[in-house]
Amino acid sequence: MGQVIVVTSGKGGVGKTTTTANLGTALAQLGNKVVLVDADIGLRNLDVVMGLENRIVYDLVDVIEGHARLKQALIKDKRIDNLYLLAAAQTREKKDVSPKQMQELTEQLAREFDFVLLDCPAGIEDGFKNAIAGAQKAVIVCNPEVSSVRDADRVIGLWDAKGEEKSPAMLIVNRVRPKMVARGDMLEIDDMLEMLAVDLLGIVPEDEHIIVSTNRGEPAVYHRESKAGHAFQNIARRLMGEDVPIMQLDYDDGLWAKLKRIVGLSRG
Amino acid sequence: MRQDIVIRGTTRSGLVIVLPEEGDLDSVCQRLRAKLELSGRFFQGAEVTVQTGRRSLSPAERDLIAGILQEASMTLRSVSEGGDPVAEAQAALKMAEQSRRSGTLPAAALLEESETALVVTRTLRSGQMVRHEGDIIVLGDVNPGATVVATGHIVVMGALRGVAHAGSSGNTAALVAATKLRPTQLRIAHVIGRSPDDEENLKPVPEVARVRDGMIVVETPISESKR
Repeated sequence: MGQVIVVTSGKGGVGKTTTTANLGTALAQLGNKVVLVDADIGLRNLDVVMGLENRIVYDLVDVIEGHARLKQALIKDKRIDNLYLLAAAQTREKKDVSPKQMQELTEQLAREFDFVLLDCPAGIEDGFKNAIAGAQKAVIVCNPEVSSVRDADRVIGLWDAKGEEKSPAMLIVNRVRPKMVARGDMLEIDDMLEMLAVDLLGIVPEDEHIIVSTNRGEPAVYHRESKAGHAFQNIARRLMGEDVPIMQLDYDDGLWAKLKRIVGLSRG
Repeated sequence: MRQDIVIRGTTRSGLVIVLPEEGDLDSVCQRLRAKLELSGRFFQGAEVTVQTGRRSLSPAERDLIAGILQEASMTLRSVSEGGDPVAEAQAALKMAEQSRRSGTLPAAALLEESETALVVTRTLRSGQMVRHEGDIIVLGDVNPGATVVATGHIVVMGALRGVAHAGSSGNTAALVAATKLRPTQLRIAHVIGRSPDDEENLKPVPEVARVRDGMIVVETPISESKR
């Protein structure tokens, strides 16, 4: 049985879909058989970020309602053979699916895939309940800002209350701007961890590559020079059980800083 | 399996004696007498609440039990009938479990001895709430967005960052204590206070909030004792 992992945050716009796309791609690059499930019914995005929008014939609701077989609805990625997407229905609503149906679906997927990544919608209503229903692990995506941390705390509480067999939530701090953290204008990651009291799965720096790659439908992990992509690759390895140290973010990464580091002037 | 007589102490209402529900009262009285004789003068002067469960006592039977207690220099304060305390406690635990799953925490007021303290052994996160008649002890943090309401005191062995309401039924003598007292808002009885907007980043020390002259004041018990 594969792992069923939900990527969630409570707050919108923190990078759940980007995280799902990049983690999934990275896990597939590492040789795992991966399926990405867009649980954001009515507001689907994951297909766009993956660049697979034009290949959707059947979606998640079609499978649940029996209009299509699971095999028919799984869309194979255009770059990696062992990566698949199950798209959300765009013309339907969250309440057209029940947690029980989602659970059955993810169980079925877990039998065939090493990793089932669920892209959870924002909020804590029906869509969220559906998405966490079948998951054994939760990755909480959080930005270093107060409102995001607050929502993450709420979601972790709901995850803990789920009971049953599941492992503790893991945190990804996304869109970190090292310079702002250094100036004290952003929340310190240690402070976030102290309050949320969960394991840190990874830190992802703010990266312009993400915007470019999202618009192109090409996850950032394909770009060698993307720092965010590199961070997601590390996170994927950690999910596989490898012990990869958390990336140290450089506060100043210009040529000047590199020079200073070489001559031993910088703290880096 | 509650065959025998149970004697237990509580914090505020003194001693509680639970009588078995089955068997005739005469034999129960005999056993009670024997049990009290065995304990000698240990319970001398105690005020007692007798719980009879489903058994209901006639005034004469009530006097009989009061007499037995009198012999042991104890006074009968009240008799509480109805309901099986064990079954009730089990039901309350079940409800607490259910409310835990649904994200809210034990309404332990359901427990029969509502005046005892409720110990919460985990961190309360945003959206979670604990309400209790009596004191609440939290072994963990109370995060922003979480709420703790107690008719008695509130003690947080950790960081209190959410809302705490002590003495919720009007007890202005109630206290709120925390190892790191940084609440969004504090309420004691009808008095409301909030943290200063300019949060100074001092090293956290255990602090106690109480009502003085109609205002909530925060004190550090350690430095006070040093003075």
